[in-house]
Amino acid sequence: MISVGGIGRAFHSAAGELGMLTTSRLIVDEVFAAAGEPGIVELRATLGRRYAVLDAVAAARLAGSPTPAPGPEAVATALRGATSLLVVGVEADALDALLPLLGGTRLGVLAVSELEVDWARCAASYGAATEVVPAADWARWAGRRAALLTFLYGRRGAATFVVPAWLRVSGPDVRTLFRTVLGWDVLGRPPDVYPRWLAETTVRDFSTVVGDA
Amino acid sequence: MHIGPDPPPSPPDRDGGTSPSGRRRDRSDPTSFMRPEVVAAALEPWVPDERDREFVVRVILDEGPAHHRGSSFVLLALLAELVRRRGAHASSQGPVEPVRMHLPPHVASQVDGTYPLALPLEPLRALAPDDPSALRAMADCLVDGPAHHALANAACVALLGALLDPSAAP
Repeated sequence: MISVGGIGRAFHSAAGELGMLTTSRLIVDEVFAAAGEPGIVELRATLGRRYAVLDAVAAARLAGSPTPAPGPEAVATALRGATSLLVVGVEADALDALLPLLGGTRLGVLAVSELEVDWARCAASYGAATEVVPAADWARWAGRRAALLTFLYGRRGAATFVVPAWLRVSGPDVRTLFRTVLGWDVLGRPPDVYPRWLAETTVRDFSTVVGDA
Repeated sequence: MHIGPDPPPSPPDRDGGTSPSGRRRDRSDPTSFMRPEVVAAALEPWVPDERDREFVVRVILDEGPAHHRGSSFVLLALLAELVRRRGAHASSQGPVEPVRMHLPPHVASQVDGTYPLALPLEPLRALAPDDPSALRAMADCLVDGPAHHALANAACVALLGALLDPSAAP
């Protein structure tokens, strides 16, 4: 027996600092270990409509598909030569895999989220050199060798789903201020339910999109 | 927000090409005739780094209104063809005017906010051989305005410079 209500509170608390996908993977792994497929079915039925990424990861587990690999190599290739990288949104699994490939690239995390986040603690987990960037300071990270990255949670045609914080910085003028504007599709499939914690935008926001379509 | 079955896939682009960013180009896009690789190849002497070149070409051909993007491609592709037919090559480096990003003033001095393609000034001397202030004013006009506009101007002047360079004459 699992406490789905408790899991919901845990998901909400963790998703801000670990990311929707990373938190979903952890919870789906734990529920599957504790309660098997019936537990995943119950998790999906109870929390799936509230958390679309959790629903997608649970559905993938039921279908026998593993959670998509982050695929950091293609991202690192796309970022080659960048001297700075400003990340909008957090996905711990993906960033953990990417950071060792970035060399001396300066890393900043934009401190904007719909969820409660202790940004200092969040940034510290990616190394002492990681900077927490207030929303008003995003332009200090622009430049001819600068990169801007956010995570995509699936694509459907030209539409894609991002954390709402992305809408605070994206725009036609911003695309001209960063050499690379990268969307990293970490989910690899569009959500089956309305992604109420995410926002829809288009792939035209990005100079490069990496990840499974 | 659309949640439901995937829409039918777009028909393949007629040249099978992609934008500088690797995105598929839509046949309904009025600028689907653009071939970014043509502009990228033409600018290689001035922007040798491939990623820098992708950035410049993206801003020229992917940003701004469609009529600007399409016009910039046509003019640059024609100039590139002319350079090719004349066997011309890149002018000597000479003085340049940076093309600056439109950053907030309080940030502009803190970041490297210039594009990898600068405006060559030598070709402008053909119009103002002994008038530095006129040359200055011309340069200001050419690098002013939106980034896609200023970079397209710089690219045009660079290619024109190759054509005007006496040493490049066939």
